[in-house]
Amino acid sequence: MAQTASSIASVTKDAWTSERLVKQFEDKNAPLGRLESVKGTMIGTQAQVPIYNNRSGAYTSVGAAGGSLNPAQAQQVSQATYTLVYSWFQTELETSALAQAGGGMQSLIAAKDLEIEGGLENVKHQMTRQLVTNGDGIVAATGTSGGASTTVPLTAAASEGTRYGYSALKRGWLFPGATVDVGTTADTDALVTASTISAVSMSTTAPTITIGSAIDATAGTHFVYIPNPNSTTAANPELNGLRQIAATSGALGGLNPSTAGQEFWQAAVRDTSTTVFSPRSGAQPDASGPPERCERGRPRGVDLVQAADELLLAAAEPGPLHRRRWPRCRERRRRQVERLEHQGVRRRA
Amino acid sequence: VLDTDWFQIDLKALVKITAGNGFDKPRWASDIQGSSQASIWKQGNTSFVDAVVYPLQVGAQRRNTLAAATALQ
Repeated sequence: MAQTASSIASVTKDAWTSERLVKQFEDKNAPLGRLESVKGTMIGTQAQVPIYNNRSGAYTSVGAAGGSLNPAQAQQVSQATYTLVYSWFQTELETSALAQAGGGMQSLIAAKDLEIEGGLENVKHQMTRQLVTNGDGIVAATGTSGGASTTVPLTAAASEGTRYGYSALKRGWLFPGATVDVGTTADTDALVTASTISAVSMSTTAPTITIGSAIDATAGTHFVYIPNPNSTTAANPELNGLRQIAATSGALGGLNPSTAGQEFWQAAVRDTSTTVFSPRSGAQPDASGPPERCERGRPRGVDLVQAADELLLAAAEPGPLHRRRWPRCRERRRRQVERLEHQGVRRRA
Repeated sequence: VLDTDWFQIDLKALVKITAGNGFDKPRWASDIQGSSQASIWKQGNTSFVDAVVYPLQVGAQRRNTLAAATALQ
């Protein structure tokens, strides 16, 4: 009987295509990285932001004959306060992993390095999710199950807007092995507590997660959360998100634009239309005047323009006035665009 | 950032809140403890445990220089 590749398989050598693990996800966590580059404020109990709300209204104009003046008023000030959120991530290594998977001749990567580097990236990934969402602990919104099932529908891509579901799968916020609660905003584990996701479906039209318990979810009522071992009803405290910060309503830092006297505390514009993108005239932040100086080739006031995973270069392009008065900015901007395009960042028309 | 979202952010309008004493970046529990080891023996077990902690918060010191669209199709 002839020797074959199959019969000698037990002593043949196999080869790895790479000496490095090939990540199947984006691990740069760019929005958080951008924030990390900013100088921070160290706090004791809380960070207090001194805010100059509004001018005084003590103005009077009179003719040559003079006259009385309106009474003096105080300049209006207030403060926003922020407290820290501690993001934790646990790791555990069995002794055998340290002994038998130490890298080098033993394994492609040391088990210890994998857990340490993975843990750091994973905690930053969670924080990035928080930063780009709403600070409310919601990881995804469910659809309507139509009866108890272990397969839980999420908001379809076409229906995303205020709520999101498909994107949570696509961005790796929910994945097999992750543990989740499903519940309402009032009771975050009302339907299920700490159930492990066994499978996901990344369908744009019918995205789902499969969990260990059958639940009957309702769109608009139920949401997916990270389990909170410190409360039976509340979500984990999370970072304030850009959706929350760049909003025309809602409290932030203890101030609320719906409170009389705090109307100033809102974003210049928040477009929530689902049909036409409508940046209104005058809605441009810092629209009070031309940029004072060129910063990294961009008009002052426009530091981070980001949609999906690409830079909106056109949106960050200096306007006509800027181009005319700051020709060096245009040249810097052109070089920046060329550099980004060279790096593979797409340009939108 | 979600596919539906677009933010125009002035970083100067944001504030990054951190803790002092070296907690302005992720730190391992074993490092905080001062054991100078990458992980800590889990008493009564054959495994080693550790945890990373990253205290951070982001806030705004001015909101009216920010803009967003959150339902793009």
